[in-house]
Amino acid sequence: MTRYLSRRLFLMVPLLLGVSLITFILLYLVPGDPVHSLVGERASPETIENIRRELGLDLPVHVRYSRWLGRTLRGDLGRSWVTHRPVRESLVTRFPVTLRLSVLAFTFSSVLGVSLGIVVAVREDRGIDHPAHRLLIAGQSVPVIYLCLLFMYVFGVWMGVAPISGLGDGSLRHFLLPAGALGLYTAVPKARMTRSAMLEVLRQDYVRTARAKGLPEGAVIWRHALRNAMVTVVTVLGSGLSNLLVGSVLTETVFGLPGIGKLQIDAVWARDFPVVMGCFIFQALVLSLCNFVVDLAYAWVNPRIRLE
Amino acid sequence: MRARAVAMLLCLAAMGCRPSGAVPVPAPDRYGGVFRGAWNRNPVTLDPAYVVTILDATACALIYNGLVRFDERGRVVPDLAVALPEVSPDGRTYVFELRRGVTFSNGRELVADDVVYSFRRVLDPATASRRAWVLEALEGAEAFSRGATGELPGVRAEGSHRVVITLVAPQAHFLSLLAMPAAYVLAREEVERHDDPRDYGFHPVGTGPWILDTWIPGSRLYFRANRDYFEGRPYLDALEFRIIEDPATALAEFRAGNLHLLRLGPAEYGAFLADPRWRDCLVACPDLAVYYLGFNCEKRPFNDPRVRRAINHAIDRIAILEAVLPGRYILANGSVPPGLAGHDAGLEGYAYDPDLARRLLAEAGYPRGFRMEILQTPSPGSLQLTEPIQRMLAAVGIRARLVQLETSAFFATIGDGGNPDSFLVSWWADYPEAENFLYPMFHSRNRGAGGNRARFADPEVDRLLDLARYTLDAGKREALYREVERRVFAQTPWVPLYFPVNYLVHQPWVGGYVPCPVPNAQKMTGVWLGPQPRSHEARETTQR
Repeated sequence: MTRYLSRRLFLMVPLLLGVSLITFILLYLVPGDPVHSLVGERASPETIENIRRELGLDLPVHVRYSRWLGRTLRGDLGRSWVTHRPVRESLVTRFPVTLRLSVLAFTFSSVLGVSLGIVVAVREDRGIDHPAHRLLIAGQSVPVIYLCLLFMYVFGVWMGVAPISGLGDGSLRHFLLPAGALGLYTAVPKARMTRSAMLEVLRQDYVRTARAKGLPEGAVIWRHALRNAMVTVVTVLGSGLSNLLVGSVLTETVFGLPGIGKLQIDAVWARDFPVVMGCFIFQALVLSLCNFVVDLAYAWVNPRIRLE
Repeated sequence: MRARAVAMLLCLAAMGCRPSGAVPVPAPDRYGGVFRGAWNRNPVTLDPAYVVTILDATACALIYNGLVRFDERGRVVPDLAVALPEVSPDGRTYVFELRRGVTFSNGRELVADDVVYSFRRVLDPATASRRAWVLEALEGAEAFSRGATGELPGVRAEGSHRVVITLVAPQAHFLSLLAMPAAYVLAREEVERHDDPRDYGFHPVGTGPWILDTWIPGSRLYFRANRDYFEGRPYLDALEFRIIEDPATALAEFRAGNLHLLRLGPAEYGAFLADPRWRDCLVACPDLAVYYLGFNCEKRPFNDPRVRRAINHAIDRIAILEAVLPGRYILANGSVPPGLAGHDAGLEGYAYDPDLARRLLAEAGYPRGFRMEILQTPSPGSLQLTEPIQRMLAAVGIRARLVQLETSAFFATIGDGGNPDSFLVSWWADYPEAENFLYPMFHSRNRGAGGNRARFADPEVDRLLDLARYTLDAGKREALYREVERRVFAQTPWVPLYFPVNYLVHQPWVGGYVPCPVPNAQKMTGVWLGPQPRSHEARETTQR
């Protein structure tokens, strides 16, 4: 087990190096000049040349990469070319916002998605199953941005039960609407996955045996079916959380939350190299840690899985 | 034409020519309250030496003062100076007397040395200011900014409250340059307090009416009133600007009463205009900007003026603008917006005449037209303009391809990094002078990234522009700029499209808001809040 863990952790090193190299090369290849957005019009050629030198843009690409790598390994992610804020400071202040939004949305969507999935699976072809299934398909087809606006108007403007947008004082109630919209949106795939996993398990011989030996239906579902169905569900849940951590930029933008996603998108537009690199490396780290935790969770929910 | 007249009227109204008394004068009990606004992005910096964007200029104007500033009509008026300066007969020396008793928000009194320090800092190569050009006319600025000398004779303090500025040569628009953010006055000790001088931009200290209290990047900025402001404290206790990128979100916040002022997008403008409840709260604000379809005048076939004229005749600008921006534009026939000295209302555009366009193309040797590319940024507004242009060009045989480039790549391509056919772009003024349009956009010295994206070159235009920049007599200067504009547009380096008119809407309980076409003219000192309806009060959240 310890060997497995250390090997998994060690493998993150080449992964992060690969991500940094690919991001660096892509940034180098995309057209556009970062200096333009920094100086505006009418800057003299000397000013532009000075800024190029100051940013190291006059150096060959491999020298720039090795310099960046050296600094990063020493724990210095540099400063934004545009705002001059230290990248680490930006990540440290913005990640909690993304984390809070993601964890809230994740909790909401997991509880809602998994329970809905179980209910419709247990009631297959009866009562709630068909309308619920249709609702799930509809839910997956609605763009998240539309859901955000819907939440904003219904709960924020008309009912006035939650702040419409913004971080406010950072309290939980400012996350209610964004986490609700995002949670609802991401609950749908979880519900569908739970439903199909449960249906598959419910058709297994050991479930029939459990029923045949007279176990109450609740015990059959909770102790025998759900535990086994969870292996598939945990995969979806795990990737769901990591997706939220790196991909809630639309929700952040619409609700005006200063999270990592917004920081990253703005930096890409401005070709703000240190910030883009910092964000990608940080997100790669978060993603691989999430996957790592998911792998560990497999073992917990299903002892049949051998980590070796 | 009617649309044009209406737009002109609106423009004049917003430029301050409204009947006197239209803005109610607040009673003493109207002091207090927090104004809540929204900005669509995070300011980059509040250090005047690095201010490039309109938003940064707007934010800096709240914190700082210069020797002079723009009023809401765009005229230069004294700010930290007691009066406009005495100018020597040769137009090279300006003497400013500073107001006494002006203090920075750290409590220290402002003296002439602060002005000298601030100007030297912008020109200092170690600062690497993006706006060193604003003060490049100062005597000795060229050598000083190269680092060749530590002397800058162009600005000096005489005693504690007199500043003498000497220029290399007279510069007609110099006072306008002094009203720009780059010429704001800073306190040396506040800049030098930080280990990295660039950190000053997050902890700005000025003499202005507002003091930055909190700045949470990407979330909000909170300014509290400077109670010792030399022109008297602002009516409001504080300003809060939230960063709301999505226009739909800003609209929702405004409708819930959580925002006091909203810049209206094209979609919302119609709805607010049609709603009688909001009619009195709509404010027109013409921007000092021009949108145009520029040609690369160096590249075949656009190096032939007949081809450029043909394209001008092929495009029905009024039909397009009426469909896309009804009520939100002033038709442009030149480059200088109305309201600026040098704007030529008599300039006639090229009428829509596809037959003439075809004849001109045939004359130029392209009877069957040609292929061309129109470059643009990915903004949805760009496509709304270029798609009908594409169809109209097809009608005269020109097969135009619309190419959307990401903003940074777009500017690199139309600047010095590419060889475009044509491009849809806008120019936003830094200061309200015809010079700020004509010189960068048509002087051959500014070819490409300098602003002359059309690569337009005419030695006579260059001569007239140089002459106008040194002509101190306002009347003569205006005549020169008109002549330049006529000469340029007789050669059609562009299809001039429109001068944008924006609309703002404020809550009914907001008083004293006067829009300013120059972004850093808005000091927010005269804005006050009246009693607010209960339903809104309940919902307001205190966000400090």
